[in-house]
Amino acid sequence: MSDTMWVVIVFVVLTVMGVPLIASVGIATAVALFLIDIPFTLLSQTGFTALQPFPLLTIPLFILAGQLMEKGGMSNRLIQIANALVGAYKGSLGLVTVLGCMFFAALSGSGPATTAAIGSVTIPSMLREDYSPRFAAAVAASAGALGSMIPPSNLLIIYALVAEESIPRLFLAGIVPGIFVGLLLLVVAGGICVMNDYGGKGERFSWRPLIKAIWEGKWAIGAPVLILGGIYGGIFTPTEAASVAVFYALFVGVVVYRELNWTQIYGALRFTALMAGLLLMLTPTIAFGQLAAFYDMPQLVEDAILQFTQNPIIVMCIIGVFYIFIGTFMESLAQIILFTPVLLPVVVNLGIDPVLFGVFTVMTCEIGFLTPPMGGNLFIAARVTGISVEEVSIGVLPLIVPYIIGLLFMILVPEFVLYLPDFFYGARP
Amino acid sequence: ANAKSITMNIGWETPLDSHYGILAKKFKELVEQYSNGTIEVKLRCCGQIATEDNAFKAMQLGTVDGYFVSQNNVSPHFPLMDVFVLPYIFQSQDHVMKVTTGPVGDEIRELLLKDTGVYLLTFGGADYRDLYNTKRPIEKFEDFAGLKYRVPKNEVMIETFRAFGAEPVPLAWSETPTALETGTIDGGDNGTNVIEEMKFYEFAKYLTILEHFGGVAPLFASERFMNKLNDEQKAAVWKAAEEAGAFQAEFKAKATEEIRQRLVKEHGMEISYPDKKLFIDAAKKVQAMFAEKKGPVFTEFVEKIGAAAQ
Amino acid sequence: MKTEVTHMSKLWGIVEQRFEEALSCFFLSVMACCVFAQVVARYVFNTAITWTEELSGFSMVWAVYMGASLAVRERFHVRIVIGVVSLPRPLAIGVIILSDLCWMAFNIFMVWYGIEYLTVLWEKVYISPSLHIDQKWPQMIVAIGYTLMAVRLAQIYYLWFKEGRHELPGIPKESQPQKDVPNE
Ligand code: NA
Ligand code: NA
Repeated sequence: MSDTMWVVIVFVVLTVMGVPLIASVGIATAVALFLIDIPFTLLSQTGFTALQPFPLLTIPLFILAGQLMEKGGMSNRLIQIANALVGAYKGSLGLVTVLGCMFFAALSGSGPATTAAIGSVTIPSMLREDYSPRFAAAVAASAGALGSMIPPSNLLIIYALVAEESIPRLFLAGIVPGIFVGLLLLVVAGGICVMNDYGGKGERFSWRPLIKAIWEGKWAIGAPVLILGGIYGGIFTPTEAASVAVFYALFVGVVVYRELNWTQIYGALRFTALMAGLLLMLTPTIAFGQLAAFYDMPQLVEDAILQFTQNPIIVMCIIGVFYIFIGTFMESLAQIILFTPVLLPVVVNLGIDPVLFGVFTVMTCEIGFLTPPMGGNLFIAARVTGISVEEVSIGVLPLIVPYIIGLLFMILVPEFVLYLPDFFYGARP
Repeated sequence: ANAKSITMNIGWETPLDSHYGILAKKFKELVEQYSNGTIEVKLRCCGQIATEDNAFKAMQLGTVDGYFVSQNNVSPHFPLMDVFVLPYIFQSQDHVMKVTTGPVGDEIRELLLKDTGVYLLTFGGADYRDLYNTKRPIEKFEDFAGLKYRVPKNEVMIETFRAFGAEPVPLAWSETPTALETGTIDGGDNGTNVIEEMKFYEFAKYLTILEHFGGVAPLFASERFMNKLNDEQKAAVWKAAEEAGAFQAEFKAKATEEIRQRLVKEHGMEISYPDKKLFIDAAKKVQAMFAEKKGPVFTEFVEKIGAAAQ
Repeated sequence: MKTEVTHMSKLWGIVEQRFEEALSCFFLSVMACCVFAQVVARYVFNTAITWTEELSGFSMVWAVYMGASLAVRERFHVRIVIGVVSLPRPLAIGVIILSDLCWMAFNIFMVWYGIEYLTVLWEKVYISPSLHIDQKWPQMIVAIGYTLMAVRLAQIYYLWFKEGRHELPGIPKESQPQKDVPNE
């Protein structure tokens, strides 16, 4: 058996046994090092250096900013705006949840965080208005996943780091698919509400309450304007933008809204610390990536796929199905850092734009948030609603359809994703 | 004696066909020939096996066999390397070659091995960093005022840009293309080939030739790798390295001018050659400042390099 | 005498509970301030700070390691437990202990090679380009971090034994199989 096979077997067996991914990647890497006689200190060096790239700092900073914005009262204001917009329609609270998630997605870099921020307010209200718990949880879970597509997005940043792509380009590329899927979610959620005769008891739409809500939520709306405007206006780099977001959230939460206290700030930091701890997984994975080169792995995978088909659309579909399958049980961070280095060269050789592949990858991760057994958004929505994860995962099924449509759309019509970044920065040869 | 077959993985951070690749391919061809096929060289471009900032340490650990590391990434491990970073330390391409292939080069090679345990196989050819910016053509010293130039995190380079009147923005290389794209920086300086390879001309229209920093990116090898070789193989490696280095030097000398022409004619950059006098004056102050700071051995090497020009 | 003992154990309790957490929060704050200071310096004071990027980078690494050790304590690390929790209880316990032994072995392995790496850093010069500090100091965190993680992992098992082995060890509450937990 070849050395490569041994390494893959060790990794798969350990992972299925339930060894934490950091250790199963680490041990597989150690085995790979042993087999080709490279000192183990490679793992120690990447143990430090893999965490140092400056753009990586963006991730904890955006997580911290999102926490501070949620605890500081911005999510409530955004929900008020959504309510003023769609409160009168059938299933209004369901629609409010989707819109609220779309707004909050423009502040937060993370899907599960968006579900928590909006769902923890709207799910209890939906339950009070006799929506089925299954639907209430499902709509918050599925719309929350937009947090990883509408910029800023931590997953797009991780992809940018692994693929050495431009973060601003990827952020721009995420906007259209993010809004598109959001609108489809509004349609599907609205349809379900009409069929079940949920809600619709809110005030009829009129301009005055909307303008009032927007005025009261101006500081919340200011956050994405500051973050994205700052990045695209050339005022600061994405990493710097994330730190500006942190201090903006602190300022608004403490000085303007006066809803943030020390305990909440410490809580936000503690949560960020836990999430940052998960980034340690990058260290053995990057060591493994260096070894994949010694073993010529991307070449092997490419040969295997190209033997089967040369059609880029079919290849993308195969990768899509594979990613969705992997995403059922694997955490999205791990999915991106493990598979991008191997699959990106393959699709680039087929003429697929790396920016498109990034948005595509993250879209599959969002579906991963919504599929058991490992689905970040399902866990949160289930906990907020007080029902089981299985129950939510059934409710979420029709709401996954918009994501699948979004995926197919971008495979068939790349301009869907690439128009905006190409318009802004010029097409790349 | 039967030498057993040995593999050498050589890495670098730029694409396969970049200037590093030119040297690496020639080296591979020659080593395999001179060692009668007992050494196989594998080329790992594009930062696959290490990034340039980490490669030197990786060679000390023995996890990487060989790598191209430019001078500013060597100086954290071997501070003396900073002499090469000084502005206007070299007067011409010729001067660089005299230093790197002559006794001064050998002296540095020995000191480096003694201090760091890493072999410097060949310096290769020299590069000048050319300036690019998005704002305006640089016709004279004053045009530099207030432009935000990206600089590597190297104090000599930072001080030099400050002395030129620009506003240095120390940024990681990984953030540089994005920063240029979004306008966080107005420009920067890199080897002429890098400007073309990275397509910086898409954003920055103004090219300035000042020849302020002359640079080398030597090919290094780890002690762990060199210790695997027998004497004949070692001789083959040294011979191949020397010839491949000369080959690249010749190639670079021709290529730089060609690339500048391409940048202007094909990619629409506007080129300018400002008078160097005021820049050299400013650079002398920077040289003096660091000579004082870095002590006698450093100053001695500055003088030796100057002497080699004659 | 007695109050002194309770003070000590109270203090120990706080250290046990907060050590990595507090340090990680501290390093995250340093990181956020450094990056923000870079922006403020550029626009408010019109200068470039050269050391913020490096300091924030070091803080990031320390925050991650402290966070990772905290995540061991909170059983927050990503692992795929779907297979394990569906096994019959005695087998599940066997498999999870085996996989945690692998994890422990990896931690010890990393401590060992973290120290070997540190000896190389100790023998050779490696000065950080902008703060000019010797890299052996910040990079010590690799060995320290994995040591902390090994200790926290051992602690989980110590508590599991002490508290009567009801749950599956090392698996967070929400992933515990409901039916297999004996009702006592
Ligand atoms: Na987002
Ligand atoms: Na999933």
